[in-house]
Amino acid sequence: MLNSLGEYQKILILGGKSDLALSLINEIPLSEDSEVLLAGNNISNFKTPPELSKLNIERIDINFRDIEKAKFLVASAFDTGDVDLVIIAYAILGDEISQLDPSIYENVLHTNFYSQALMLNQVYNRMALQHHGQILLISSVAGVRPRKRNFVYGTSKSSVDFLVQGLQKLTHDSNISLTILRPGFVHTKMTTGIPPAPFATDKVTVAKIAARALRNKSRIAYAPRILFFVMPILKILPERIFRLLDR
Amino acid sequence: MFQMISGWGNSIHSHTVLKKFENDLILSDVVNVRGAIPRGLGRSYGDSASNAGGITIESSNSSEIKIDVTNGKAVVPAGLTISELERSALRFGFFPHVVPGTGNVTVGGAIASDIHGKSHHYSGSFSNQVLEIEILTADGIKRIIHPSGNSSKLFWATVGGMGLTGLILQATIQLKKIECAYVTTKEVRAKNLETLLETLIDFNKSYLYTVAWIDISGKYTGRGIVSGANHSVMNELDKKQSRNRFMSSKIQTFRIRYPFKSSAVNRFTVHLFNFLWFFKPLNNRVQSIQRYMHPLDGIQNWNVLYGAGGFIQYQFVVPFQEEKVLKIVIEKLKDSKCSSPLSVLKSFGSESKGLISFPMPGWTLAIDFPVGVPGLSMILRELDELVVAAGGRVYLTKDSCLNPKHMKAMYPQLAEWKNVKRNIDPNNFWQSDQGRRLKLC
Repeated sequence: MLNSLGEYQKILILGGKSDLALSLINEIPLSEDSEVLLAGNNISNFKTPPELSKLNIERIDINFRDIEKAKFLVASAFDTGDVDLVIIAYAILGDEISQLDPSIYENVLHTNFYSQALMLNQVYNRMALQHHGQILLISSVAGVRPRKRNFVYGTSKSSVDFLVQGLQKLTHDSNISLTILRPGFVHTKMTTGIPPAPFATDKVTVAKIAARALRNKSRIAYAPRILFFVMPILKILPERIFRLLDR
Repeated sequence: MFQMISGWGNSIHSHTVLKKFENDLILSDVVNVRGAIPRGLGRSYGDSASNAGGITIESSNSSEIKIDVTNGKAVVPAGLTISELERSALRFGFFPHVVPGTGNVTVGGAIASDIHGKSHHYSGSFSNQVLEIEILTADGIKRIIHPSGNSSKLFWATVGGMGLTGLILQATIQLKKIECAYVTTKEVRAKNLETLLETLIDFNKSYLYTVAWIDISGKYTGRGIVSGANHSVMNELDKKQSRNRFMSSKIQTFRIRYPFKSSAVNRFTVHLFNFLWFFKPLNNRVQSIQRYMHPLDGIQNWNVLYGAGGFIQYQFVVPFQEEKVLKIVIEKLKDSKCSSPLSVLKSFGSESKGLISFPMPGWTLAIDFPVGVPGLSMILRELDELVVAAGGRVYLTKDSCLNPKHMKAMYPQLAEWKNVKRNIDPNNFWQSDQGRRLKLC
């Protein structure tokens, strides 16, 4: 449980290599003894950024496609002590050109939706027992309206986004807060080589917005903040106008 | 039904099921995987009497107290408040050896915190007057435990054990005979920290009850007011007092209405209050013992003045030879522009035998901080490091942000306490938010 200074005692990051999640750790209050659990694929040899070197970091090797094992590892994280914050940060961008390739198609949907949905179930149920905690889903504006180049990715993001919105309706009974972070284009290792979209931003800006959203227990946060106004407009644009922008 | 509760500091909130204790309570019927923690009147400042996701068992309202007037032994239910104990004892010409600064704590809470009072330099902590405890342990058995003998390990783990060894049901307490319900008090001003400490040491030689208020604001000189008191003798009383020599005083209480979210306690108001308090008329008179012991009890809810964010009280003790730590702390607060109203300084006498009890010989200082003071986290971490380096410790009853590493360093008998806890409660039935934070359970 957060102490009286609002410091997180234990954080679990599903997708421990995520640039956004690691930047966020730098922006939230932690005490000296706080545990940060990084769960991800082949994470044992992953080098964390130098600014996190003073933290008490534990690496958990998880293949999120191996659902049963992943659920077991998540449960173990809770078994060793209350978890104050779970960040769901893992995702696959897929391939813009061959997003309909069956194996890429299946991989994106399985990882970004099916696996995350089941992890959410596990995390939420364990947190509900604690009666305290926060869950942050790193979603995407790609889930607001399908775009030609990444609609499979967008589908997976919007589905789990929808699921978290449903879970948010239960929170008043369980004292858990769920926050959906919808970043636009962010310069990270995941987007290296991809031409930036309008309103592109950097991971530190996104991290600051996410930290503020956690502090305020916001339901949805956009990064950059201007997307809060832009996305609803884009969502309702007639298709023939949207198509002109979606190139 | 889950409810949100907090400690007196209002700085940590916990979603828990509150259950009133009843004699026929079967623990296994009410408790889930998150266990249970006893709770008195919720006057601990942090999260020691709350259990998120689990059960918080509130003590019963029983006020059935039996006092043996031949030897001053009182058998009291754990839910009885110290004020009620005092009133009952005074009727027969007795008074507890040790009472805390507020009468609004339960006897169970007083034992679980091993509270101390103005008489610590002479009488030690609350546990010194406890002869026997009846406790309900995790296995559902009601045990009678004593400070010596076969049950002494559990006794000294329960005293100061923050409720984590079991639910205290009843205690036998040794009261002392007094001549009347009044004390004769003396107060002097001290213009700086050195004078304050010297005066306090001096007062300890002549007065049974001593305490100092210290000004942590303004020029941060450590000036303050030292107060001492002894039980009055009959020839000190006036006519009205003589007629009612054992009458316990009814402290008129009122509640503050403070509807604002922000704290009323800030640098300006603290500076003003401390300035006025330092120059207040000195209390050199005969007064009711209860009024002297519990000066703040007249305001039922003074903690609301800290606003929605609440406050943290940081109380520590350092050995006498580490007196310089007090000066360093005041300097740090000056540099950080932190002020505190009603900061209290006291000297402790002998160490309690409680395995994780707070009192040890030395100087103890209690400071209040509104949550939200800039840099508070760093300030408190530095204070923790200072206290650890000086061989001191922080009071768990006031604690709401200590970490396990410092807990281990501050309480050398922690491992022994954990052994007792493991033996008496192997499945961690009794657990609290603080217990989980400090890895006590």
